Amino acid sequence: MDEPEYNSTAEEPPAKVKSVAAKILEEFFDTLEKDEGTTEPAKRLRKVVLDDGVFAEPAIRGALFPDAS
Amino acid sequence: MIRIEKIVIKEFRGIRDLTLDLKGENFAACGPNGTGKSGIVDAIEFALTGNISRLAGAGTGGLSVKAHGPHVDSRNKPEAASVTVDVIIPALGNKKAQISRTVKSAGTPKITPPDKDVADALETVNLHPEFVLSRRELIRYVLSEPGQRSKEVQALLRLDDIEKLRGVLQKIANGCSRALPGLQRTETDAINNLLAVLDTSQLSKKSVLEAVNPKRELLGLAPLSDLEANTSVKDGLTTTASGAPGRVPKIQAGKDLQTLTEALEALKSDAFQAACKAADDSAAELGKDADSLDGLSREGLLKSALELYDGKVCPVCDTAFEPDVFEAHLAEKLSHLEDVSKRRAALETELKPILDQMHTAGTALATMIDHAALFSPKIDVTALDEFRTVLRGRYQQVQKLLPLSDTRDVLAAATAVPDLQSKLDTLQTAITAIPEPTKQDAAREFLILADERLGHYRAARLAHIAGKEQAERAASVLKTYGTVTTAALEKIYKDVETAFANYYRKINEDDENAFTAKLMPSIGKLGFDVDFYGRGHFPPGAYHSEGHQDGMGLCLYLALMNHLLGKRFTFSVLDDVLMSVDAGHRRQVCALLREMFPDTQFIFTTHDEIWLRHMKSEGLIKGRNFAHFRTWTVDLGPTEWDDRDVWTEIEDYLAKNDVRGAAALLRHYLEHFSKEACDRLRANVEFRGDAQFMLGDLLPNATSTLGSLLKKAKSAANSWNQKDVVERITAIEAAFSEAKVKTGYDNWQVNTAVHFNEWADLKKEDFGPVVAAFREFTSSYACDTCGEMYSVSPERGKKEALRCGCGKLNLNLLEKGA
Repeated sequence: MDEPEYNSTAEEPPAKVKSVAAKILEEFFDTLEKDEGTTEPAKRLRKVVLDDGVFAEPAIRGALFPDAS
Repeated sequence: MIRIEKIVIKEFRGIRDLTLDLKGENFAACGPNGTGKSGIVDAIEFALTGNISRLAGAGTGGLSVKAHGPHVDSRNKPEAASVTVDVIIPALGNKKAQISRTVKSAGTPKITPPDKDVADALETVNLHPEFVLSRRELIRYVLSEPGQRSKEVQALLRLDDIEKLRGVLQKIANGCSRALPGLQRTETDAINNLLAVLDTSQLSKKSVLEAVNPKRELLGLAPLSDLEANTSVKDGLTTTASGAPGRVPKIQAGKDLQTLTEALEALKSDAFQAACKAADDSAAELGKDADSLDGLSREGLLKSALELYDGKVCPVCDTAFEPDVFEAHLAEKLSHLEDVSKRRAALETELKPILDQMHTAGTALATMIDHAALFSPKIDVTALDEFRTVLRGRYQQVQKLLPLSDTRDVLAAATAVPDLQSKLDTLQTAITAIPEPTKQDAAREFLILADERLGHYRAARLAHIAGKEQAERAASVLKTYGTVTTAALEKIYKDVETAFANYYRKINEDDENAFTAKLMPSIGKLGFDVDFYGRGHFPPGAYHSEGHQDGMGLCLYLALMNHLLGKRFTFSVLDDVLMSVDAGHRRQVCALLREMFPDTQFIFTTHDEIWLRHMKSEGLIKGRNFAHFRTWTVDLGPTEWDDRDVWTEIEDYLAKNDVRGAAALLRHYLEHFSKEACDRLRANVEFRGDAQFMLGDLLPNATSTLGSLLKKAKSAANSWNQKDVVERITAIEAAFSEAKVKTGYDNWQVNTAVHFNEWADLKKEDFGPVVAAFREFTSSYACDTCGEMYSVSPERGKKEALRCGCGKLNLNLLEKGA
C-alpha cells in the first residue's frame, strides 16, 4: 500500500509546542515591560515564570521587589 | 503531533499479544463489553505518555501502572508487559519513528531512530494526554459546575498557569495592601515621638533645624545649614560620661510621661468611647445576620487557608490538593462572599481611628517603660508593662477582626484602663528628682535623643514609602495581569464558542441549524449556556437530551483541541464516545469528523457494531481499518472476528472432542458472518425494531441475495456481450452452489432453529464435515485473492456493482441501456 501523504502539515517546522498559557503570559510581560514603572520587574518576572517555570510566591515576590528584605 | 501506523501490545492489561495495523488512518475497535477495547486505549496512552489515566486520579486509590499495567498473569513480570507504536510525524515530513515502553521501564521509552527531532515530537504528545477523550471526560465539559468546568477546560487548554500566577499576584497585592496601615501608624508614632523631643508641632526641615541648631551652638558645634537624608543632628558631638547610656534625659522623660498620660486619658475619653460604641454597633449589625457572620468567618478561614497552603495539602483539613485546584476552589468560594467583604471593609474603615489610638498609647507605654529601666534603682513598671500587653492584645484582635464576638468584646471594654496613676506619679517623682542638667548636658541629651528619634522616623518613613511603592506596584501588575489575561481568555473562549457552535450545527443541521452558544468566563469560572430551539440560552443539561449533550461534549472537545493545536491536531482517541447519539446524528458526526478534521487520525472504540457500520458506510473508516472483537478470555485476551482464528479455534474444539463448544462457536460466527454479508450485499431482511436478528433471519437472505446478484451480473455481462465475464460468473456461481449444497442448504433454510440446534448433539465425526462445508460456503462469499467479502456498490441507491476489496472482482450490475 502506498504511504499516506499529509502534505497539509509537512511544511511546518518541528517547533516545540508553545502552550496557550505561555502565549498569554508573554503578552502580559510585553505589556508590563512597556510601562515605565514595571519594565525591570517585567523582565525578572518573565525569566522566573517563562524561563524557569517557577510560580512560587517567594520567587514572584523577589522578582517584583528585588530590594525588599 | 503524530499519526499511528501500527501498535503491538504484549502482556499488557487484558491483552496477551495483539497487533493492530492502523496505516496512519482512522481506525475503530469494536466489540462487546469486556473484549479488550479499553486495553487498546490504555496501551496507546501508555506507549505515548508512560501513564494510564484509568489507573490514576480520583477513585483509583491503590492502583498503579507498575502493579496493574501488566496482564494479570504477568503481574510479576513488568518487563514482559510492553507496547510498541509505529508512528509517522507529519511535522517532520512524515518521518517514521517507533516508541516502545515496558511497564518495568515506563519512564524511559526506547525511541527509534534516536533523533532529537523525533524525541521532541513525541514529547509534545506526552504534553498532551488529552488526545484521549472518554465519555466520562466528555460529560465533564458539558455538565460540570461553572467552577469545575473552568478547571477542566483550562486544564485541557493548558491554562492552569494563568490562574496559578493570578492567585500568586493577588496574594502578594493583598499582603502589600494589608501591611500599609501598620507602616503608617509606625511612621505617625515616630513623628510624634520626634516632635515631642523637638518640642514643636510641625515636622519640617526648618522646624528641626530651628530646634537643634541652638543646642549645637551651645555645645560649640557648627550649625546645620540643611537636613539631608543622612544628616546627623549630633554630628561633631563627642561622647562624654554625662552622655553615656544609663542617664535618663530629664526633660524628654518628662515630656514622654506627659505624652503617655494624655494617651491614656484619650483611651478613657468620651470621644474614644463613642467611636468604640459606633464600631461595636456596626459589628453587631454585621454579626446579627447568621449568614454574614458565617460568611465572614469562612472568608477569614479561606483567606488564611490560601496564605498557609503549602502547595500540597489543605492547611485546614489536610486533604491533598493540586495547587491550581486548591486555589480555584477557594477563589470560587470567596467570590460568593463579595457582599460580606464590602461590609467588612466598611467596618475596618470605622475601626482605623480606634486602632490608631491604641497604637499611640502602646508606643507611649513602651517609651516610658524604656526610660524606667534606666533609673537607678530601677522603677517597677510591671503594671505599665501588663497594660501594654493587654493593649497589644486588643490592638491585634481589632486588627484581625475575627472572631467578630471577640472584637466586640474588645470594643466594649476598650475604654477600660487600669489605674496607673500611682505608677505615673512614681515616675514623675523620679524624673523630678533627676538633677537638673547643666545647659550643656541638656543640650547634649537633646541632640542624642533627637538624633535617635530622627533615625527611627527616617527608618519608619522609608519603610512606609517602600510599602506604598510595593503596594502600588503589586496592584498595578495585578491590574495589568487582569486586563491582559481577561482579554486573551475572552478571545480564546469566543473563538472556541464560535467553532463549537459551528460543529454542533453540523451534526444537528436537521433541526438546530440556528444553534448558538455562550461561553462566559469570569475569575475561576466558565459559564456555558446553549440555545434551545430559539427559546433562549440555558445550561446544556436543562432541556437538551443526553444524546445532544454527548454531541455537545464532543464538539466542545474538538473546538478546544482545534484551538490548542490547530494543524498539529493530527491524532485523537475517542473512547466509547457518543453512545447515546442516535443513528441519524451519528452519520452527521461522521461527516463532521471527515469533512472538518481531514488531517486528524481518529481512533474509535465502541461496543456498538451498528456504530461501526455507520462509520464504515459514511467513509470515516475505510477498508478493513478496524478490529472487531468477538470475545475475551483471561488466558488469550481479546479475539477478533477473523476467519483464520475462528476456524482454527473450531478445529481445536473438535480435536478435544468438544462438539458442543465447536457448534456454539460455529453458530456464533455464522451470525456475525450473516450480518456482515447482509450489510455488504444490501440484502432484504425483515425489519426488527430491537435489531436482534437471529441466524435464520439473515443467512438465507444473504445466500439468496448473493445468488441474485450473480445472476444480475451475468445478465448485465451478457447485455454487454462480455463472454469472459459471463464465464467467470458462471464459475463463481458453480462454486457457490456446490458449497451451498454441501451445507445442507435445503434443510437449514426451511427450519434453521431446529437445524442449528441439532449440531450440538452430533458426534465429532459427523460435525467435522459440517464445519468443512460451512468454511467452504463462507469463503465462497469472498475474493480468493484478498479474502475480503464481496460488497455491493454504492452502499445506497441503485445497485451498480459487486466488488471485492482488491478490485480483482468488479462485476457490473447494470445492463446495457438500463
